[in-house]
Amino acid sequence: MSDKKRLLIYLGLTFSISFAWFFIANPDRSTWEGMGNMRQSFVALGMMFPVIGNVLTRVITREGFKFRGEDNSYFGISFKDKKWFYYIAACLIPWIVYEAANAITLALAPSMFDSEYYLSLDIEKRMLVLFPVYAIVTGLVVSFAAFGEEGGWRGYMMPKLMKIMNRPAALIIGGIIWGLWHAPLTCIGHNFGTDYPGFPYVGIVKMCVFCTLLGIILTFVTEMSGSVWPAAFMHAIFNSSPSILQGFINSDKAPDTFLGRNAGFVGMVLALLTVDIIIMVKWRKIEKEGK
Amino acid sequence: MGGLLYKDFISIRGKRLVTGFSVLTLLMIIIKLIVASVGTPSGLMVENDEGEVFSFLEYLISVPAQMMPIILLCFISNWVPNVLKNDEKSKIHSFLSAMPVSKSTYIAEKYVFIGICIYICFSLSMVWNIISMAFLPDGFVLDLLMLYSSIFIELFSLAFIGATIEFPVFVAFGKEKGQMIKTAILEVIACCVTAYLFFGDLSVFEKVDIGEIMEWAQTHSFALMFMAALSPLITLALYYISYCISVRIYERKERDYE
Repeated sequence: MSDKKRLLIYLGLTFSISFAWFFIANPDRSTWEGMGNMRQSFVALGMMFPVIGNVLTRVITREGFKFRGEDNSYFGISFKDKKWFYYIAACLIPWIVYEAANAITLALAPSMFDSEYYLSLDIEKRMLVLFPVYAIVTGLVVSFAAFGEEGGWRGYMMPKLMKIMNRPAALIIGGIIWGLWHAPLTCIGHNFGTDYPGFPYVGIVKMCVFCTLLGIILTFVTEMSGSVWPAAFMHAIFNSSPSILQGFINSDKAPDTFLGRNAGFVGMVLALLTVDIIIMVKWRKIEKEGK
Repeated sequence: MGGLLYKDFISIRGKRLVTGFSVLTLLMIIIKLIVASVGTPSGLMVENDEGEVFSFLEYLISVPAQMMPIILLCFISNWVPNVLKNDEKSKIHSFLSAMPVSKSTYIAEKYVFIGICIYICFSLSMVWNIISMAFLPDGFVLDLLMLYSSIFIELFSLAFIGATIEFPVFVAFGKEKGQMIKTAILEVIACCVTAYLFFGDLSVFEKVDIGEIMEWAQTHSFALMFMAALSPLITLALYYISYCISVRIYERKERDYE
């Protein structure tokens, strides 16, 4: 069976199961904010379906679950050939990106700076210093949900896409697919809320941009380490938003301009873009040295 | 190492466990969604001692989530000696001596295997907790589940500490002697607790004030957060030290045997 056919089976399975779940798990069509923490976690269990899609596709197409070589499942872990470096990088990159994104946000909209905002979050100032470490540790411990996504997107979709087309095209299309998969959640206000011009279409486009930029970093660490685990750790830590600066950013004080309303998103995009450029240059260099 | 891990997975009847847990998870989700959309029949609404009315069906669904931390500790405690015993029983040692597998790799595989088991059990208990807590109204069942979820990281660390202590003991003394030592220690602890309950000063417990503890936790939130962030790291460091000790014991044992 061709890789293209396998990929289509995977995408068909993952999208249909996930969308069905997002529909069933929210029977009264509540918004993300309106459903409360407990149900948010329940709906978010849909994160497990990309890896379930991977397993089902491998069973259906009789591809198997190899841990090494071509078409391997990327589920194994190896620290040989300095691969441990990517595990450490996976833990630290989210922190660096978040701090850089928040710094850019404040530079774009200085009125958002609130020296006592963290108090409204019931956090002491000295606890704020510890927060990134806490977020990294809890992100690592509770990384199973992120593994659910990465085991599918980075463990199956990206390797297949990179076989079908060249790497830049695969990274962009992979990011768009990943962003579209979030559409049912974006439509109920996940990530961007419901109160913005162009809801929900603008939110879906923003999610696709964010997923493409983040996907480049996640695919890089997966390819370099030969495992989806660094990507899963990175994704989990990203979801815990490790940052000290965010305790000083009050979005209610954002100026009522286009840039002011989108300062947080623009900050994150610029921070991710910088890391992506560094990674693409490094990737090309590694490939040239390999050849 | 992959082959050894698969061997241990089979030896603890992993395939059966995975199927059982998957079916149970699926059942929990189906029942939960039915209860959420149809509601609990009035005959299944019960009242607790405090006069609070709650759904018995919801309580029933939450039982696996409540039991999982205890099941986790029991399973891990059972798997540690079993993965070592199965090798003794099936003469894997003789087979491995003919393979390019070093003694440290052999012991490392056991530690990695139990580490993976703890991670999977912990993740599963989180999933069950999330399923149980969804759609629940405020009240008795939700409080109970919240209490369990608040001690998850501590239980995760406890499971690792249990394995950290058990591994060197079982590597040094084998399954039967190790089991006897473990039972003896647990019995001594149980006897001490019983003796204290009979003859000790129980007024200490009467003085314990939950409100005071909660207040203490609030004023020392920084220290508690610091500990919560550090405890998994400390636990993993202890686990690694335990691995080094087990390798030494195993190498010495094998040298004496040769």
